[in-house]
Amino acid sequence: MQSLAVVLSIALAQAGAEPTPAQPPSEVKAPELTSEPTRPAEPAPPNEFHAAVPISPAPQTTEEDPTTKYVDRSGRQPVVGALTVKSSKPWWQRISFSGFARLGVFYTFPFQDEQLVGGNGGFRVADFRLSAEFRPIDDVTAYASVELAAPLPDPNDPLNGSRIVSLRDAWVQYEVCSGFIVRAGQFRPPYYAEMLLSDGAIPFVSRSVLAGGLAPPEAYPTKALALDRQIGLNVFSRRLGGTFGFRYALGVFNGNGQNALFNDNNSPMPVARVEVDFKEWITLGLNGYYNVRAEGTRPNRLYTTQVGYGADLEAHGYGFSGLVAFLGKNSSFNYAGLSPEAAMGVMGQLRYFHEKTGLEGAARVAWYEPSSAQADDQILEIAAMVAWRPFELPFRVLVQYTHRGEEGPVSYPNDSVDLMLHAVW
Amino acid sequence: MRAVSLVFLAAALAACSKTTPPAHATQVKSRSELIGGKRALAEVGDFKISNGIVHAIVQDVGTSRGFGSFGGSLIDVDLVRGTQGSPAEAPKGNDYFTEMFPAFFLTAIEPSKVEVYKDGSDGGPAIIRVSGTSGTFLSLIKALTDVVDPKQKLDYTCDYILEPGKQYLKIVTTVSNPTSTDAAWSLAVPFGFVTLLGEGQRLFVPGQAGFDMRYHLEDTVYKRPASLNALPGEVTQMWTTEGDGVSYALAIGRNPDGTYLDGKPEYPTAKPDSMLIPIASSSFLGSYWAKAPTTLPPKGSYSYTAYLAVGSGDVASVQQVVYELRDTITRPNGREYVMREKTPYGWLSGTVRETTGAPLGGVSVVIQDEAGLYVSQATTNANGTWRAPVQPGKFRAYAVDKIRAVARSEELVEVAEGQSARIDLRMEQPGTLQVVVRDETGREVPAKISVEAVYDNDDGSRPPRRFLYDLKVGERIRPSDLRRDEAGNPDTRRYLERSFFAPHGAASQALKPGTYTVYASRGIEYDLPSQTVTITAGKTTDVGLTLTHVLKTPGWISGDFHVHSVKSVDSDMALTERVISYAVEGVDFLSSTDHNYVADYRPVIDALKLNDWVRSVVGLELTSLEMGHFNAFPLVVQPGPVQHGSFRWFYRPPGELFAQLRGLGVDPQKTIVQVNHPRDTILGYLNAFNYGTFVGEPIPPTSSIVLDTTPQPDGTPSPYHPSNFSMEFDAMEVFNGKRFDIMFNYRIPATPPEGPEPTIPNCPPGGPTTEECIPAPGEVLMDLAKVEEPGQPTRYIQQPAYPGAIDDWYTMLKQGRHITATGNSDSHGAKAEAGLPRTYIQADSGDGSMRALDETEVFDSLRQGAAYPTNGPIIEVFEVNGLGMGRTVVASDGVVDVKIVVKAAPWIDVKRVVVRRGGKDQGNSPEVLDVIPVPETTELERVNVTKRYTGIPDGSFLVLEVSGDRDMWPVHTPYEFPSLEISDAVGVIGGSFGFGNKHGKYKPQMAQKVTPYAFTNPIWVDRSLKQQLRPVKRVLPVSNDRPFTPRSMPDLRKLFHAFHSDPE
Repeated sequence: MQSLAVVLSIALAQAGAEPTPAQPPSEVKAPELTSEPTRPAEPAPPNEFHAAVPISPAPQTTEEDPTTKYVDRSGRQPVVGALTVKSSKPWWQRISFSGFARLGVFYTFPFQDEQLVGGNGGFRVADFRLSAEFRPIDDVTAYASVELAAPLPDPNDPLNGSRIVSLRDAWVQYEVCSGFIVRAGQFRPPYYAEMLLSDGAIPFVSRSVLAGGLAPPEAYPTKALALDRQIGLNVFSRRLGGTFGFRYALGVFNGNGQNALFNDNNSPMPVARVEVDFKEWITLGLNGYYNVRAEGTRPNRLYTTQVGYGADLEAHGYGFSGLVAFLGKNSSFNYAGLSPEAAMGVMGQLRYFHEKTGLEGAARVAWYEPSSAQADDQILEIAAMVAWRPFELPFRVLVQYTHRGEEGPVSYPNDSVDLMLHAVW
Repeated sequence: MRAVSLVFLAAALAACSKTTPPAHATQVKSRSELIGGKRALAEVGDFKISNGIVHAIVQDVGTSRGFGSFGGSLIDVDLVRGTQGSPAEAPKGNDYFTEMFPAFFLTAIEPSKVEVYKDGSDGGPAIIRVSGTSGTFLSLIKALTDVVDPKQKLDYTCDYILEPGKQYLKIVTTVSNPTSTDAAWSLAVPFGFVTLLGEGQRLFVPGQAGFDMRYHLEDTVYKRPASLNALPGEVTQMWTTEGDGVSYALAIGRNPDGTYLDGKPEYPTAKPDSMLIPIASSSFLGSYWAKAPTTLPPKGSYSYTAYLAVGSGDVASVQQVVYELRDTITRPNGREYVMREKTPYGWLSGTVRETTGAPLGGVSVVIQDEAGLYVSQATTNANGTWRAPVQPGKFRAYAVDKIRAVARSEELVEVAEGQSARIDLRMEQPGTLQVVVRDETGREVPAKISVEAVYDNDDGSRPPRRFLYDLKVGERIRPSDLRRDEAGNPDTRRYLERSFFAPHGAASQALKPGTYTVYASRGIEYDLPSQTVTITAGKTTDVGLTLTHVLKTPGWISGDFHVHSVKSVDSDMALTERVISYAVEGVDFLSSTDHNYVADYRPVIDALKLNDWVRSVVGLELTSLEMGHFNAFPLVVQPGPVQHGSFRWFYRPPGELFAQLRGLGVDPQKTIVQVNHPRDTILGYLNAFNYGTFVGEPIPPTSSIVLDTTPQPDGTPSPYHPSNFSMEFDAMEVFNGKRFDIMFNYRIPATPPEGPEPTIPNCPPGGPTTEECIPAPGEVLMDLAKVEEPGQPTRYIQQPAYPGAIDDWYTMLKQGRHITATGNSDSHGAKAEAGLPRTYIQADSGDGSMRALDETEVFDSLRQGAAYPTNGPIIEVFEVNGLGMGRTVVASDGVVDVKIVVKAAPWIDVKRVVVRRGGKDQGNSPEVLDVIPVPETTELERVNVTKRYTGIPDGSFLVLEVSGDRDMWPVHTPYEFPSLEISDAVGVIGGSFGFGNKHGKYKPQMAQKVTPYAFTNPIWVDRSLKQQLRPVKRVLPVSNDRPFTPRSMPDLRKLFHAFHSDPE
């Protein structure tokens, strides 16, 4: 029971949650390395850059021999590219698997069939994620996750389509020191606190409209304001400092989103984020990026220059955790016939978790203006959820009501109620 | 748990209170709001209406981005699909709707305002309103509309109304008389809509026509007697379309005052909700039903209503919407009037399977009632099932696909209202033909595969479309050899069951079981190997053929400078198919020239790895509705604008258009501007400006159908005034596709054709002088243009009644104009072979690969005239004193040596080579210096001679014509299915108003065989060396941003109201 509580507390911490009331804020800290093999309760990719989510160390080997340096089993010096170890632990024991699943019934109003929005509700596998992590040596981590139920909508009819296996994370990381960690591959760029939570660690059924956008059947499509996974290179730090902490992350990405086959152009997307915190109770994050997108079918390519910026403030204690954030994006086009436009959004969420009962509740308000050029397209999203985490089982049951208030051309009676099982392993 | 219960309670309440998505109208501010799709034309600034089920966009004021003249038209319509666009790019929608606007007989709205009249925020319908005055979208018929239409300036509005939850647009058009006097129409004319459907949407008119409106009009409807009171046309209750993922239907709302069709004996089948379709050409569909008031009193108005339904791709899906449609209005007396009542219907459904039992998806099932009328069409889904709504009755069904023979149910099945009945159909199993084509070196080469078969027919007067396939059920056309069928001679009864492409030498195709001759071809430089095969159901038959490049043309490449793809509204040929079609026809070089759309095929060539075989540049066909079509290349693609650089043509003089086309060029001074099909009815530039074939300048019109030359309000000449005729172009498409009828002047045939007798007499000896007449066989049929000048006696200019472009060109050469003649296919799809004809240009591609080709050399040669058009014969050498085409020879003694080498592939017939000389002293046509007969042979070299001619005058030019008599079947199929052009419809309508055809049966036969023909550009001969002038060409910048100023005055009454704050 105690070990399960530890697991849950780690999970909550990774999910941007808070310590229990019994645990004073001053004692909140990143999960300690233990002598016992531990695993993340939710498969947050290790070392995600986000103050609200104490950086969980990658699973550690426990029987490592510090005197053994880079020697393989045969005792020979390793060659470049070989699996190198400094531990006597066999390599297969340095691989850990994790994952999560979110499945349930999802209904959007009105209860009518054959409607693009507000129809075709029912059972759905929202996610089924498998992750694997490998630590060939102490400071190097390789991580990959695949989504086994990724949606592949029919381009002509988003209500049709199938679910496919799709790559999510795929990266390699080398930790030179706590102030200089290098990661390369596909992963979330260091931008916007809500987005930096693992898919399995978000308290709600889905992220806010700023992070996830909207899509049928819940609503007419609206693109997200935040950045999704990208392929690139990121240099970042762990928390530096004492009472006042500091972290940074500087990355260069392709700017095309996840699983892009090739780059849309030769322009990389620089992304930067800094966080300062006070005893990790309150964390302020500032981030921004610059990107040039090329859209359209060759040769009719239009170039869009995007500048994204945002700030988020996270605080937690006594079972409560809160997050407020602002995001903005300015876009300009290389064709004079299209006027520059701006997008912006704000969100705030508050969550409470009662550890003794395993009950939790959360509410979120998000407001999103997708385009200053387009009239009547603002979205107000209000979500409320209650969940119960049975202590003995690694899952929670969640009920969420979401109200979407949309203007003009996207207005539609599309509030939704979702009942979801969220399992983690 | 209480919280959970509360949540569910809230959810239930929400569900109860919200059931129907609202409608919304807005002006588009971002491209992410657009609809998208193959025919999408909308742009930021247009007006969108949506209700979550369908959405549509009305263009803002301006000039049409489609084929029409004015903005304010409905240009994009689709089901809401939930796809997403970006601010830079429209969503991936599936709009397949080109353009529709209300037509008051032949007058449209010239909009001065498009606005959101109701945005739908009150939960009611959303309305976009287009308002303006009348505008003649075809100025050619202004003379007619001037007679018919009221003299008063009337107000016109068109409301596009979308109600929540409806799958159709309601369109209410209103004509009102703001003046203080009665407005009267001099004739009873109908109001309705003009729709430009474009390719990709197959018209299905329930009734006798089914999918074959084209021949139904020509064979049946147009042969009915027409009168001034009753236009000829098909009477139907709706028109529908079938297309890829989206379909449309137009139905009408009843009118308390009745319709144009009411009570007329010419329309015995008309019902209160019937419409009349007098025109259904390739891209122009007229639907009329509203009865214009004979008199519209002051402040009076008249309205008519239509419903445009949107379906999911088949006719059945839109018919269901129409059948369910019920609409009412409240009349001024407070009583309800039913505009449209629901149509009682039941369901007919079934499956289509192969004889093996496998379900067949994508098969078209056409429903026919017991009276033989085609009433509906449904498309089977992946499991072979289909269903269609039908009005109560008895029916049979036809299953039609592109491969198998049509399957027909024998028994009639009865359907009662609200009931269902079932028809299951079985189609034969096809076999597969697999072909590999290699050249003489063993390399797999791009090739066209033609699969020929022989049909049975013992009645030579019956065209194959009457028995070989059924166009009314939508069966695919099988091209035939157009030879008169003889029972004992199978060579006269050949048809192509299928043609397909092997882009890299190998391809396979499903075929009906049977015996076929399989040909492999690659244009006119290759031979034509063939093999006879038998295709067996369920089996694959392999064929290997060797294509030999028998005629190499070092130093010359073949080009086609008039090419269409799906980027043109009247073509549905995908870019990949388009590019492949050129590779397999052996055309080396092409320019994209889509209608009012700058396209670039190069990325497709790259993707297909056909760079060795084909090279492409960017071009445009600026397509005016009635003033001509003009190509320009090479151009720069502009990624931003929707049409990527094409600009508005409406009401601009041609010289300005030419200069603006150059402004789009990579190098404006070197941009080639080409006048296309200059004698193609109203689409031809020279026809539009009444260019005198033998005069070389515009002449008075010989017809009442002329461009509007009324001066503009400020007193400046009309852009269409003859003084604005411009010769500032570089090339002219003298040889267009298979259209010999617009290349040569029409001559009276030796054997009189069938048809009505002319209303003009036979000519006296000596030909026409002051009266039009029918000349002797072999002579050119002439019109007379009457010239009346102050102080001068009236004189007449002879003008070919049906002029051909080659004599126009000869006249231009006579005037010393260095206009390069080109031959281009103008291919819009598979029916028109790519590169037929093509233009050979002097340019070196090195090893034969197009990668090494220098485009600058191509255009320099083309501009200079070092080029010749051909559909078969190769003119290897045509030199005068050692200099080739486009060059100027100085022969001080007037003696020239002409070297001629003509070759042809073995399957191409060459019968004669004609040497012509023209110049300032020529008569109507260049004189014939020599006719060199060519013996019957299959040898490659047909002529190799050097001739000496003396006494060549200064300022002469020499050209060569090469021709044969035998067609080039099956590589080049005949021109068997001419499109029903807008001019046909105009002619028929004109006939109703007394503009009869004075020539009767004497008119060019559009359907024609394709016989070998080639001619050269001139070699100029001077007696002394002259300095050639190279004038700087006029270049104008292109700007579509210039605001469109409606030609009508602002509505001062509304301004007055605004001052007084009167409520609207």
